[in-house]
Amino acid sequence: MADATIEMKGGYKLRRRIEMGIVYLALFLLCSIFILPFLITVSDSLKRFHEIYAVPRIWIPKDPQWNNFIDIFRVLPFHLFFINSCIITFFALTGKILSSCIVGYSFARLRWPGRDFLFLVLLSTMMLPQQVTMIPIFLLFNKLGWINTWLPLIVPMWFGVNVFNVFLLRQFFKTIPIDLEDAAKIDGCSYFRILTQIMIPLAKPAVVTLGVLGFVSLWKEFMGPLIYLSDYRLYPIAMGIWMFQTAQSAQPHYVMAASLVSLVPVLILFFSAQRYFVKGIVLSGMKG
Amino acid sequence: MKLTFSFWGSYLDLEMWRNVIDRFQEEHPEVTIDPEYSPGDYAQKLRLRLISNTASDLILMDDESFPGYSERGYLVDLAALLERDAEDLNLDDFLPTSLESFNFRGVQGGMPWGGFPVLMFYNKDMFDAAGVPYPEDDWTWEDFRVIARKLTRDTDGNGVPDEFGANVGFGFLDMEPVIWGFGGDILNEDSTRAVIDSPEALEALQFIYDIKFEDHSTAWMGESEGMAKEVELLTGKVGMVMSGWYLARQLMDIKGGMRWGIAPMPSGPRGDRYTRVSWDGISINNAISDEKKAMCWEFLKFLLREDTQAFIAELGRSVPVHRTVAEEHFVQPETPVQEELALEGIDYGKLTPVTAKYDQLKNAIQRPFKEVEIGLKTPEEAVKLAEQDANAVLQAELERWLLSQGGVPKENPAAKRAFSIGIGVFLAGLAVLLVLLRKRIFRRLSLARQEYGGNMARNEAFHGYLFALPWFTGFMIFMAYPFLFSIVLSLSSWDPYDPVSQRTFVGFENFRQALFHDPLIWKALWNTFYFAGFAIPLSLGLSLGLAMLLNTKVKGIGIYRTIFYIPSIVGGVATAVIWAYIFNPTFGPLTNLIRSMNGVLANFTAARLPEIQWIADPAMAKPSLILMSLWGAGGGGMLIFLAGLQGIPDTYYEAADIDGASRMRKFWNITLPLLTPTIYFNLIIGMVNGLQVFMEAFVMVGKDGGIDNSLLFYMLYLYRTAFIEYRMGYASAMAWILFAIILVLTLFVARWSALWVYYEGEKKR
Repeated sequence: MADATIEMKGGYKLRRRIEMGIVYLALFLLCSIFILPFLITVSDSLKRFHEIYAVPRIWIPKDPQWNNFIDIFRVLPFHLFFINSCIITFFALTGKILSSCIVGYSFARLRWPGRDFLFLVLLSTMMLPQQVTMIPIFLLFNKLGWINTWLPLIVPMWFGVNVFNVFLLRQFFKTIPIDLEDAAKIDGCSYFRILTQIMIPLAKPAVVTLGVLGFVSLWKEFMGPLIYLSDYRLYPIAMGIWMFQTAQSAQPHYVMAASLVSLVPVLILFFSAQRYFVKGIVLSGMKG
Repeated sequence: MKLTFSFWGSYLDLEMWRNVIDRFQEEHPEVTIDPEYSPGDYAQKLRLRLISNTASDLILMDDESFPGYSERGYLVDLAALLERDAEDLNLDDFLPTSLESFNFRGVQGGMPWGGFPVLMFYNKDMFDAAGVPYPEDDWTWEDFRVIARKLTRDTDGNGVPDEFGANVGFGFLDMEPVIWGFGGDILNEDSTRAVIDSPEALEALQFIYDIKFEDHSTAWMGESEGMAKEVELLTGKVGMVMSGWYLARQLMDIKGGMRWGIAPMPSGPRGDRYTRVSWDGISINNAISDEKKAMCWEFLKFLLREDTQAFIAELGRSVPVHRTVAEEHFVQPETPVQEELALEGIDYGKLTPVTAKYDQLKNAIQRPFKEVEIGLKTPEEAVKLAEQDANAVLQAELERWLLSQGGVPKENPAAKRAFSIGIGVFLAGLAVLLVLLRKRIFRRLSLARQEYGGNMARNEAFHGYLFALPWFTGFMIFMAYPFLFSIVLSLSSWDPYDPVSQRTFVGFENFRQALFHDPLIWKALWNTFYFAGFAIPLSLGLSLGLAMLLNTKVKGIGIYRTIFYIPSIVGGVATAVIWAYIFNPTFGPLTNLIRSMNGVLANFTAARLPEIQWIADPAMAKPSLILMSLWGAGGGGMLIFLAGLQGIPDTYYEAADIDGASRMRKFWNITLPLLTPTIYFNLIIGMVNGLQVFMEAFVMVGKDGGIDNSLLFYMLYLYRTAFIEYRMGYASAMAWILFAIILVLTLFVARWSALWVYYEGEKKR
């Protein structure tokens, strides 16, 4: 809870200790559940094929197969998939964040005729199932000559087409007090500067969240690359994992090793994004 | 010349094909072949490519999906070339069924290159433990039944077997060899009529039924963990499984673990022995130039040449097409597998009866047996229904074929006209609406003129448009067309395997059908609302709770946050492992919990909690799935709440502390109100996603919606309609109905939100 900074008096201290104890207990219990998939991935990635399905489950393989990690790079150009993923994710994510900020700001803070109606249109694009739009979207990219390039994976992101993000930022921009913006306007600040110097810094946790969620979804994206790409040298890492997972010759130990390799950057990114997950500092100053 | 070649498979297949391509290019330096390799969902991708005329020149095909494409004229008929080069190819040396497998209604739509007979794989350790001798080469289905019974054991002594002798069911792959072995058949000779309702076939089906329900030497629904066949065999859960030859290759790669063996298929009561054989082949795209077609044919001839076949044969992956190559290069005495069994299997093997709509046929025959699997129907009842349904599918398909005569799909002028009519009706409707609402619009416009009259306001509006422009442009480019297109489709009848131009306008027929004559839609809607009604509020509450927990100021919170987020990034396989374990009805933790609670109960009363079959029980399937969906609560929703919590100024809490407010009070009066914009966001997103729930059910029960359609969610039904029943028009209409439902609900929530969502930034307006 947010009151941790407040100094408590005498009798409260014990209560507070108990409360913190409960918090730690809850954190510990939940962590031990939520970390399971990760532990399974790690332990299976170090196994031989037959050990993976052993009953009862083997958690620590007797003879860890570190070779699995070398093997996946040996039998496939996995480093190439990794680099491809980095490039695609970088360009797509940049577009995603920039366009969501700009569009989200317009829908949240600027008043213009037709805004609320268009916002509904924007939201409604999430409501038509992908299964029926997949064919026409494919035909469209084909007409544009974008098949077997990364463009279908990157360009739409620059246009705020991923409305989840626009909606998210709109919600957060709407919570920022109006006073700061008004003051900036009086000082002759342009709308663009208001966005970049007031709105985005104040909504930093939301922008970071968007960045993290966007990164993860782009990094894991499978269906798009599968449909639009055909040269395997252009494939991202999510498809590399599938190359060990076909119905007729599953190699679960390689799948797990490959998953772990693709997981590491996400974990690092997530962990380091924590630094930016702090309160909008300016807000308290404003209210004072 | 540049050719493209698309194929599926694992990295091993990629390696093999690259090797074959290199060899070919060495001999033909003027040709380069670009591999187009799909590691997953090849069927979907191939369909998209063929209907949009962007498929590769050479196409890897399986013999089940080939007839559909061949019949629609997508593939070159190789019959003439085959006749011309019969000597080169040494056709006399071809193994039986190989050429046939790519011949549909007289069209040779491809060339086979590798065969997969279904054989019996068994776990030697289990045989030894039970003291049963390994199967003889001339064993019968009756022997099979006896052995299966002997191998079945109850190791933990709870009265229910947990190691099973066999795994036979009413899937196509299992039914076929048994039905054939008993002298029955599924379709007649030329695949035009179902004949599964014969005394012989019924005897075979009854045989499978008895193994399962009388002997209980095959696991009942809920007793098996839904593992893949090789895993069942590997873990000693099942003693004997029928599987395609690829399993041998896989078992060979597995060093260590159990000992295994391969046996031929058993023979039936009248001495008939059959198995199922399938072939992989390569087809040539019919839409490419004759020059390219000729070069593709060269590649096929190269692929079928004895040295290339020998190279492939030595990989042990599949049986080569030539008998001599198979005998010399495929059968390798030094390997632990008896390849000769596969070769024999091809000799006594049969092809599955194919039609142009194979998925639909398979579905029609298998669906009645779903209820046999859980003991609700007898084979006798199911077989009648199966024959009836299969005949309906076959008849519709034949009529269609006779109409089109299998020619190259032509542009359909009626469809074009229908498109213009559709657009016309839409525009006319819009015009009428404008005329009717003109007064309101004018009033609104003059109001707007007043409101945005000032310089400041006009400047703001200008920037509003400017900043919304990226989205609007993107919407017009990437969204508007697909939306319009799917509206047109919803007014048409279109088979998603036909070129897009080949659709027929049916007006509102699809909607009429869906709304008034399709009880399954209502069932699917009910399932979906049931799921969403529980899953949305529960996961909303849970992710808020988790976010608040992660918002406490304790040491190392960054690590906790990262761990909480792990389930949503790991996803896929590891999560499936966990859920299969959690829902395991024999040793899963949920079952153990119930058992230990029963242990406690035993001290007080005779009442016991029932042991639940979870996913396998129609009544528990949805709750299980809801439980499963909560797993995702630690993902995006939690992070967004966490970000929302950061936006609440500390000053509010400080002020409340000075007033001596309790923790609950602070939550209700500060946290919750200031978090409403985030709650609203998560609610809308949860609704949009929850009503389109698809993946969870698809992963757990596959596309058929579980027992009694208890997990048939709306999107699952839509998927089935579109891609198994080939009714894309109807599926599009369904999509728009769902769209309307979600839109209305969203509008409702948006209106309602005005009452409870509080935006700090709007209070002065």
